[in-house]
Amino acid sequence: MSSQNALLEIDNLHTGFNIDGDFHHAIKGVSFDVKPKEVVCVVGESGCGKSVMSLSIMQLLPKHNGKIDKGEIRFNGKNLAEYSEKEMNNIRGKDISMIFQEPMTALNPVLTIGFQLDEVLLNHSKDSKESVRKKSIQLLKDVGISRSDQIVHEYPHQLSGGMRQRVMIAMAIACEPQLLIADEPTTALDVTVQAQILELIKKIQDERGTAVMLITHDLGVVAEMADRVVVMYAGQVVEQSDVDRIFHDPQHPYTKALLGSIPKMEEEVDELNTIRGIVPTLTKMPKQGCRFVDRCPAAMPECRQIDPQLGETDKGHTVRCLLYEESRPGEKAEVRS
Amino acid sequence: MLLYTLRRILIMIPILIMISIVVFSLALAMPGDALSGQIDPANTDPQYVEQMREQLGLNDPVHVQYARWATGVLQWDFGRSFNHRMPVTELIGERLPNTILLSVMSLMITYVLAFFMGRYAGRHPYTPGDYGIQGLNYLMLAIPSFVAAIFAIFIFSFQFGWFPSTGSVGSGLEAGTWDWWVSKIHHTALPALVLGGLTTASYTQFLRNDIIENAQKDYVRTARAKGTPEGTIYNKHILRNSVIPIITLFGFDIASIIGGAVIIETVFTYRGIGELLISSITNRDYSVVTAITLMLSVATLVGNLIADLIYGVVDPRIRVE
Ligand SMILES: Nc1ncnc2c1ncn2[C@@H]1O[C@H](COP(=O)(O)OP(=O)(O)OP(=O)(O)O)[C@@H](O)[C@H]1O
Ligand code: SF4
Ligand SMILES: [Mg+2]
Repeated sequence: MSSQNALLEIDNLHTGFNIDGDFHHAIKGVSFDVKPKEVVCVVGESGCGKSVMSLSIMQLLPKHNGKIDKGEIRFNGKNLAEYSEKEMNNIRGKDISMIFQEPMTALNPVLTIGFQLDEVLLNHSKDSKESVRKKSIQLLKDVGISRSDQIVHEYPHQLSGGMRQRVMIAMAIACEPQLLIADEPTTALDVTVQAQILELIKKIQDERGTAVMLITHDLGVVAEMADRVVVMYAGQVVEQSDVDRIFHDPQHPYTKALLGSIPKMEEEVDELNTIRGIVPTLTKMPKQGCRFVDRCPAAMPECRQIDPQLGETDKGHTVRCLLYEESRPGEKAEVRS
Repeated sequence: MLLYTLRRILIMIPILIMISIVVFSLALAMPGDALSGQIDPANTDPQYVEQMREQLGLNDPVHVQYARWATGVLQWDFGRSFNHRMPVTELIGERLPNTILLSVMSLMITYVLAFFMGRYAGRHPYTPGDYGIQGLNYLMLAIPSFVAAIFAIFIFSFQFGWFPSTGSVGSGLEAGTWDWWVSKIHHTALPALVLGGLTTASYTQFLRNDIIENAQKDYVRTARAKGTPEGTIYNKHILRNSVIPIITLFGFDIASIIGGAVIIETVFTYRGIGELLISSITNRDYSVVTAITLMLSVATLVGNLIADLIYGVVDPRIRVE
């Protein structure tokens, strides 16, 4: 069901790491699309492979132990794995750009903000240094940094976390990318700053029509931003749909549990209704059956034997759980949105 | 920055006073007359010694002696060298430029070699080139400097005849002329190569490890995500971070550079401070020993200050308002 008009197609992606001589998958068969101008939110708990997936897209996995060993990532229809390192450098920062989780360490401490912002423009254009610098100052204004003509001469440690994240955003949008990957861009920030940064991303997306893949584990953010939602668990997509159906008709027990773990203001809750347990580490992943089984309130004995497949239960709504006929192997095989 | 510098210099004053007291006490504990150098160390006649001590004020209370000595030192007066029959200041003034030349040349050699080897090994770790450089490093760390010096003299002076094996300048040359300078540098080159070459090991290793560590940092990933080519990432982003500790290393290293120079100068009979120190100890010329000891302590202190100040200049995070 590969859609012709998708900007990014992730197709049965398998990414893993060499740990103590053995290869372990952190991503095992992830498939989904991002269409132009669309906001896709990827949700899941810590350790479920969200960052590994975004680094796979950028082809920025740690060289010494990380590897994509199966599947394809197509951008505008072309497999990214086929690009040389040099061609990939032409895409990174220009067609696909990325904002990272940790603004405190993502900037180089000994280079000025101006240098680091100019760099992305110089990498992808033949403009003179002067005109690039002018553009950098304008970009900083665009992301809401006042006195930007002074900030270009300052160093990262002189800025607050929120300001640094704005600088990161300025870098990411400098070359007007078609796709912006934001990996938990607000996790490390204060609540008030979080809201401002999200608003900024939303505004950029509206004005420039950039497609955004927003990674988060905050369902409040999802409700605010998403057109479509991809729920990940332990390196797999367990459910995906448009944002309304995820909130009003969640199907996978994990999605339901996630939704249950949002504290509701009106209810008097002593304890957050969080999901018991944690995501298994790569080396402790069950070899067979559903990866959620140890934490699933609806688990059945067969869940330990049969690998559930991603099946379409409703148009544009896919789920990976044996409670649904569509997920049983041999029924409809892996479906993509 | 100015305020910071002033504060650092002010803090040095009590430390300097402490150092001077220690050196002074050591001098008192030495036999003979280590402060003014006017009693013949070879003449052991008790009457002569007693008479001279009385005359020089060596029987005065300790604090009076200290005050007298410290006043002298502040006026750049370290007494006389009995052996050389001249003021210690003059003697040191003759030797010091040679040692400075040797230290500067060896430092330059260290930095150039360490920069290229460290950069290569850091960018290509765990490759044959890296292993080669590491092997060389261990070799340099393992060889004592006097052994290396003797080997260097044997090979480069005696076998190939490329460098003179002794002295710090050719004879019969007028100081300050072109030929004199050429001869000086020619004489200094081999000891500097040995001294600088041996120190290269730790600098190279330091730079290599720092580059490898920095290559894992988040900011490198950000640079990659911007489409920055690998070469630029290493030469601009990583190196800019990794040279900071290396640049400041030398300030802390001044003492060990001079320590190394003592041995190298002696082997090469190179007329510098180190050679003077050793020969003064052998000849019981204690006033010279005292003066050099004090100078080396101060040099170490100043070295640390320089290191800190350079750190402030090259690292924007330390630049204090
Ligand atoms: N370089 C690596 N080497 C080995 N294992 C890794 C490496 N990077 C990530 N992993 C493992 O892969 C799994 C997924 O990690 P990932 O960072 O993608 O999680 P995440 O979903 O982004 O979590 P978070 O919300 O905390 O950012 C984790 O178990 C992690 O330990
Ligand atoms: S397959 Fe079984 S264990 Fe897995 S989520 Fe569905 S019901 Fe739970
Ligand atoms: Mg992450």
